[in-house]
Amino acid sequence: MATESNKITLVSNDGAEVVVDRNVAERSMLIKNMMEDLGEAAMTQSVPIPNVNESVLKKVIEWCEHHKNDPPAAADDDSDSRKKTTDIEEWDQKFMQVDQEMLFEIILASNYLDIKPLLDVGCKTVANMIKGKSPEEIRKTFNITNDFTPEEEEQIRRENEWAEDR
Amino acid sequence: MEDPYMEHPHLVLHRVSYELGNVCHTGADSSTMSIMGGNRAEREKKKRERQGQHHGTRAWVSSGCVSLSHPVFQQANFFTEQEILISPTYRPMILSFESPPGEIALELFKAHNTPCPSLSTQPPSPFRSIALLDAAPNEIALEIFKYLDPCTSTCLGLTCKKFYAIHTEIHGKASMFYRVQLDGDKYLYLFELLHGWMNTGKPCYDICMPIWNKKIEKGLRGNTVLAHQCTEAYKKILHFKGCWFCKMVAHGTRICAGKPSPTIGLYAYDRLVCVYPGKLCYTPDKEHHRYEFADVEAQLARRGFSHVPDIHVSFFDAWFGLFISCFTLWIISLHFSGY
Repeated sequence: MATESNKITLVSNDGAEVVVDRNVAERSMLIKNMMEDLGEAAMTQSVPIPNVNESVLKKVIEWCEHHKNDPPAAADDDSDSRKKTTDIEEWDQKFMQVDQEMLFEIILASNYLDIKPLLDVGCKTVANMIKGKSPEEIRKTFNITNDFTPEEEEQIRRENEWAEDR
Repeated sequence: MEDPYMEHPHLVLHRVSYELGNVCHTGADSSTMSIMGGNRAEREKKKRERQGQHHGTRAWVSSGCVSLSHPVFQQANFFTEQEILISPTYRPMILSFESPPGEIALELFKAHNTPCPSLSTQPPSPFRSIALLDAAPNEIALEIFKYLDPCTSTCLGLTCKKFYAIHTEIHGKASMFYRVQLDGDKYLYLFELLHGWMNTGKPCYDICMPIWNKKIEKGLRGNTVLAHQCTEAYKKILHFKGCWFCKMVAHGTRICAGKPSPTIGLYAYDRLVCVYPGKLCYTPDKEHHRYEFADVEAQLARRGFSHVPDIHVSFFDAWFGLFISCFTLWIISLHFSGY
């Protein structure tokens, strides 16, 4: 339920209510579109966020609070220029210093809530964690099960003419 | 009570919303569809599906759709319950568009207010903790891959089938010469990262280092070595089969055949193998030399060489030097002995 005209209440999947400024919440394109579709009626009701729990929701809102004055992302923001760098702002780096589970929860939540800049930061963080690691080290870091059979691995070695192209 | 999934298999809708990043995947029957709100987009999607166009959508999210018919996903059989790690307590939502609108609305309401299985309302369980990255939705995996350079992408791709499919789709075949920039001016070549995966022993950069240092100092007198010399030397080291460093040599000599190579680092590797083919050996205590070799280009640049120096010492020079030395010693010994 909205407490003030410019605030909305988000309800996490574990029932926790979080009151935020509308402009903060609208960093999420999901919520923004919902608000636009439902109009003022949405301001009087709490907004369920069924895929995000309280701790993750608060974390996401913390990020939105900090970035509430950032310019909105361009519509064609999937361009390569956005992808080329894995540099992360200092504040965002500290923000992402969480355990791996929380990191992926944030990524999933930002994907669900359609907060592209946060999704980018999360993905960049994961990319930086992978950088410079061998396949075995990556498996250990992320608990990835090697589902290749020895024959398949051998096949990959054969298929990739590793030293032939540059 | 009869299992409705068995009775109406065509109505099964695998709503794996969160684990698939809210990509709702329809079952075998096109008459079923994902519903995350019954909005206009979904109705349009239903229409498309009835027309035989199967498109995955990111429900609730207006952009960044990833087609589930993409070869990447088909190749890796992404949408299996085993890979998606659906909670054992989770039941897929059953919906039919033949159902009355009220029923649909009710199901939607339930779905909307039911916590998704993958979320952390429950304490972390071993089931959940085993796979965070490879259980991530495919669109998340794709997003992550977009930030990976080819070298890192190859390493991630070799961890499991799912990522390999994505990697090959984005980057195709890999080259051992891919390299990843680390902090500072250090970098790693793919062949260094993959030496364990290639299962062919350690790479041969750790050639007898002290000798090499002396020789390269001699070689830094300004001569250049031509690639055909490396080619000849390469023939001598073919017995190192399985060592992909040798493949590097072959590759390197081909790309810079007959001319001083502008790729000093690579070419320096070649020359090391050419001059000391018999010293291709690995000893763990030389591991720390790796960076010195990887940094060969920078080392040469610091010495003011913009081209590949020759480190080849001719057979005649070596023996002639030895002969002169022995002769001098013999003369001196004769002198002191009184003759």
